[in-house]
This record gives sequence, C-alpha cells and structure tokens, in this order.
Amino acid sequence: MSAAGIPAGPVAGPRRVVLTGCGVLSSIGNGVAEFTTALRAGRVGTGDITVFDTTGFPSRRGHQVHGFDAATALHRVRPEHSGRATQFAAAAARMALDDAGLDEAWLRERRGTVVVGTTDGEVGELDLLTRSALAIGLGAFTGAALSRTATGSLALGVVRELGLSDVESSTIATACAAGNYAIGAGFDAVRSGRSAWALVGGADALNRKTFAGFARLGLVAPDECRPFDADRVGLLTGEGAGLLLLESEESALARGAHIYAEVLGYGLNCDASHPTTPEENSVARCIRLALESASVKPDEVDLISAHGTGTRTNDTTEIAAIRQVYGDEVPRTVGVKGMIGHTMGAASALGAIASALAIRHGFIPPTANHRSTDPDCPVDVVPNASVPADVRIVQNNGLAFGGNNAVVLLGRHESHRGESVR
Amino acid sequence: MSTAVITAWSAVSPYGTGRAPLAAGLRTRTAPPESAGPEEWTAQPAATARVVPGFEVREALGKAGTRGMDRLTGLAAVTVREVLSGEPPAGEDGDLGTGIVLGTASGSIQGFMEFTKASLEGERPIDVMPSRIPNMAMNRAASAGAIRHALKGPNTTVAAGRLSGLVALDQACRLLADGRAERMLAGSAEEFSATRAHLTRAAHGDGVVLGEGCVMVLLEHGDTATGEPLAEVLAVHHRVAPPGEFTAALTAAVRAALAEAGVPSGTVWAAVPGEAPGPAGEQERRVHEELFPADVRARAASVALLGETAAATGAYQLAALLSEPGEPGRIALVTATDPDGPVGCAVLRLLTEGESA
Repeated sequence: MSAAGIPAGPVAGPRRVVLTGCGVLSSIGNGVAEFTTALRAGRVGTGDITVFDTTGFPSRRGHQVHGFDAATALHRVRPEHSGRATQFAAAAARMALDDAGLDEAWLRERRGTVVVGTTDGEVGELDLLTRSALAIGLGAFTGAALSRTATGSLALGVVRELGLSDVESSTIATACAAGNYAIGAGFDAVRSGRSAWALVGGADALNRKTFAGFARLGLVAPDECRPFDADRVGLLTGEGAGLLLLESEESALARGAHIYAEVLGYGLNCDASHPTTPEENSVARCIRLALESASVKPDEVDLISAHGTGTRTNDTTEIAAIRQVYGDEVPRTVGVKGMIGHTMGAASALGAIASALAIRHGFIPPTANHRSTDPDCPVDVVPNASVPADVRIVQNNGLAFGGNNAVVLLGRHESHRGESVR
Repeated sequence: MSTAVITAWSAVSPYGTGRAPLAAGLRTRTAPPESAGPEEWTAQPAATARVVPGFEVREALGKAGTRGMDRLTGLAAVTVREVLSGEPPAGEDGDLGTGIVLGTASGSIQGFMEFTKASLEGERPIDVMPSRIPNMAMNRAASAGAIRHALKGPNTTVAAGRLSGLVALDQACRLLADGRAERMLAGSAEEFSATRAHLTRAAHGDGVVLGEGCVMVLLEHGDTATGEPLAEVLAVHHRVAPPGEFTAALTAAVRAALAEAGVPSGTVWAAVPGEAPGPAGEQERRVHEELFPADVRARAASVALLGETAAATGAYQLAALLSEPGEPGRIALVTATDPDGPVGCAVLRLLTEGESA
C-alpha cells in the first residue's frame, strides 16, 4: 500500500503499530489471563442463558458472561445509568489499559482514538423498553432512554470510564465484522500519527431480539457450536467484549512495554451481493487485500482464526475462499466460536486477541466440540485440544450480514528492547 | 498530500427526493411542511413531523429485494441511487471499489422494537417476521446501498449520535487517504418513527419537531477525481466534552480543525452549527458568536429548518454549505455537538459558485 496521502503526524512516515494490552470478557473467562488458560485448555463456555427470559424458545443455550460485577469493574460509568454492552466495553477497556501497564493520566496526555465495534449496540435496552411499553404504554419512554439506547454509548462509555476528552470516539456497527473494522480504524489512526494510542475492539450483550432472529432462521445449534464439523447445524449466540490497546512501536519500546503482537495490516470489502449469504470470491478478495496491506505472502501465514460460525453456509464458503488464496497449503484454521460462541460485534476482536495470544504464548487454540471434519472444509482445524506451535503470523477473519468482510493480520514483533527501530 | 474532494451529493429530505428540492429549500430558508408519520406501533394519529412526503420504501425502490425493508434503509438506498445517478461506478472488481460510510444513531429503533414485540406477543417467541431479519443487523442500510449498486469497497456503519455525519465524513476521507477505496460515499441518515419521537420528546421536551432524511456526498481523491470538484474537505476534528460543559471542548475542536486545515478563523466565510437541543445547542451557539461575526453565522441556512434530525444533522449541514452560492474558494465549516458529549468540526473549501438559483 502506498504511503502517499498519509497526513503528516509527529513522526514523518507511517509508524509500526503494536498491541500492548488486552481486555477480555467472555463465556470462558474474564481478563486476559483467564482467557489464555481457557483457550489453551479448550474450555467450552456453553450454558443456559439467564440475562433474558428464554421461555418457549427451542433452546436456551448460549454463551453468557459470568462473574461480571459492573459496580466493581467500573470506576466512573454508573451501571444503573448504562446498558450491558456499554458496561462490557468500558470494563474491557479498563482491563486493556491495566494489562498494558498504563494509566488514565498517560492516555489524557496524548490524543487518542476509541472505536468500539458492535452488532446490536444497546438493543438489549430496547428489548426492555419494548416490554415496558407493552405493559404500561407511552410512560415507558423516559428522559434517559434516548442516551441509554444510543449505539454510540459503547465508545462513549469507554471515554467516560477513563475520564478522557482529547479523544476521537465512535462506535462501528458493521455487524459481526465490526471488531476487525474497529481494529483497522485504530491501526490507521496510530499508523498515520493522528493518534498516539487507540483503544479498539468490540462488545455485545445477549438480547432477545437477536436470539429470536437466529432461532427463526433455524441457525441455532441445539447443543454446541461445531465449526467445520460434518454434522454442524448452527451457531450459539454469545456475548462479551474484546478491547485492544494499540500504540506505536516507538512508544511501546520507549516505555519498555510487553508487546503481544504487531498489527501488520487489514482489508475491508463488501460482497454487494446478498443481505445474509456470504460470497466466496469476495471473501477471497478481502483476504488478498489484507495480505497485500500487511505485505505478507500466503506461505508466511501460520494460523487462520476463522469467522467459523458453525453454520452450514458460512463454514463451507469461508474455507472455499481461504483455499482460493492459499491453494492446497492452507495453514491450520481454527474456529474459537466453539469455545466462546458467536459474540457478534466482539467476535473478531476476541478472535484477534486469541490470535495475539497464540503468537505470544506459542500455542494454537483448538476448534472445540469437533467430531469429524466436513469433507467440504478440508483443513486442519486443530480439533478439541490446543497444540504448541511457533506462531509468527496470524490471519483473523470477520464476516458479517450485509456482505461486510474485514480481515486483520497480526505478526510476532521481532524487535528486541533497545534495538534501533527501523 | 492529496485531499478528498466532494464531486457529487444528493439527499432524500422533507423537501422531497433529490438534491434540487433540498438545495432550493435551504437557499430560500423555507421550512418544509409537517405531515403525518407512518402508521406503526405507538404512533399517535394526530402527530406530525417534517417527514419525507409520501415516502414508502417499496414505492421508492420497487418491489425487488425490498420486502420488509425498514424506512431508514429505504431512505439511505434512495440517496445512494440519487448520488450515483448517471454515473454508475465501473471496474468494481478490478480496483479497490467504491465504499460507503453511513452514520446512524441507533439503526431503526422502531424496527428493532417491533421485532422484539412480535417475539413477546407471538404464540412462540420465534414467531418474528422473516422478511425483517436482514434489518436486524444495524449495517443493513449501508450494505443495502452497496448491494443495489454493486459497490464493493469498504462498507462501514458508524454511530456517534449527532456527530455521526462528521465522523462518517472523517472515516471516509481516511479510507481514501490510506488507499483503501477508489471512491467513497459518506453521509448520515435518520428515519422518523413513533418510538424515536417518544424517545426524543422524553429527552428534549414535547415541543421538539422531528425531522428525517439522508444526505450523502461522493468523495474522490483530489488529484484523480473524475467529477467536477464541488468542495475540498480540509479537516475534521472531534473529541468529547466533559458532561454538560461543551464550550471549551467545542472551541478546542474548531481551533484544531482550522489549524489542521491551515486556515485562519478570520477567513471563514460561513459557519453552520448543528442546532442540538438543550444546553449542547445553546453553548454551541455561544461558541459561534464568540468565534465568528454575524454575517459569517448567517451566510448559510440553519438546519433547524428541518426539525430535529439527530444523526442526519451533520450531513444536512454539509448540504446547507453546498447549496449556498458564493465565490469559488471560500472557506466554510460546520460544527456538531451531541448532548451526550461528542463535539466536532469539519472545514471545507467550496470550489464552485454553489447551486444556481
């Protein structure tokens, strides 16, 4: 990609961008340490959903976040004034900040970017409002409801929680690819020098509206989500948040930060073909755009963290697209949704964090609940048990309704502390 | 550095479909009429708003692929069609393609709530309307515009309250500058609905008149643009004000945007505020009084003519500037404030004499 057109920042020329902090909320653990242990153990977080009433649904199974106490996790955002997705985003951002070894003062001294991806925003709040309006009529619409249901409240929750002002903030609602879109926006902001840091990722909370929609489509698995399995029958909806703290390599090295991985590049495109069915050629094109942006050749990629929803159509189409680019030499391709469910706008952000952990700790998280690989998905899915591996470069896929594709490339950061930066 | 230029724009507004009726209404400072909103859950029969007159999605777009499509998506899809009229993009497979960044507040609130209502009231909780399921993804409007016109570039839906139009413009310019698209459509949209009216009035008072619509601009690289450049986007800067204290943050945002644009504030020909309800809008007006003389503040139409247009406001402000005649090369800016905190400013250089009267 050309460097032309990059606005002049404090440092001339594009900067290298590294990931130095991760915040995680998921059905298999909260915080990056628990998440790492669970990924390595191949733990599956399926259970009965209790955040809304599942009476009468064909199945009540899903991936819910447990052990999240908003009052403890949040310092400034008041849980009683904000929805669950906003609480998730704000809490995960604080976790990422702590994990990076930074504090709020450091953020305030520098201009930054906050971008949170989501599928549903605060639709859970609209579910509650609907129930209330059916019960009591127009009195359900109270003065605080407009702000509380606004999709922008997710990014704003991060800004308020950390007491920031000189920060550009937005919520990207590009459905289930939104996490990767947000990472891409933060990458460009830091790379160009517009921002010194970026807190980016995704958050979504379980809600009735989306659960009903997927159930109506017949896409919900009765027991477990089995990506790439011959007998897979669907996804399990989930919730969670993944927030990543990005900064320039120069900044990370100067402060002696632990670097999980370098963000190498990303690609975005749109199938422009069907509202709900992915299109193979277009997904392949997005992968090529990402590889080109990252200056990475297919044979350099060690692992693909797939979108891998466990639906018939997604998995077959996604693997076919991968094989268009990689031929018969497809790197190991895993679907972490078997463990954490489909966390919607958080999915590709959590996938990116799982990818960075694979690089940092030298293991490949498994595709859980696996019995036999679909002959139409002929790849090594690393079934059921993680394996140790030397992982240098990972491709992280995010595909969404609307044909919105986003692919992020992460790589091991090779520079050692004290070495001169190129 | 090559900056982004606007080479086309259009709208669906309470004045009607297309650029001309909106431009004429804004130029003559004429408020569009109020009329009844669509019949839907929680609608009050006597309620009126500045809605797009007679807008029905399937009449506006035809029957193909529009079954169950929500109003917000319909407004955005018609706007994409209008912006591209006569110039369908070529070579979408060969190059980076045409992208879209669309700003929204919360998608179609009415659509989401009616879907949940069906789940709550149906014999079974999965008795929801299958034709409406594609609407359940908040990126429906942006992606439908792409699907209808085969636009294969980056396709982003961004939510930042009343800043949505400015943030969409900013993200589109960055995607262009970073070489991720050949052309970008950027804008923002808001649908009128009964539930949005209730939410807005509960927050900002019963006197608020709601508006709706969508405006989009086509952005190209300045040095390779194929269309006639109408305006150059010089800078967009946004940040977040401390709760209730918009003045200092907005002033800082305006100064940062002018500095990035490389133009002194004395050269600003027109300044258009976002007219937010409540203290956000009051403080924004005072910032304009502090920074700009009266003739600069009065030069372009006020978007208050359109009613409370929430996420669509920023795009309407761009339309107000692009509609106003004057000498080529004049510097103009828009500011936006959101009652929840975000504030921002976009600076443009207007390159034509504006819409002919």
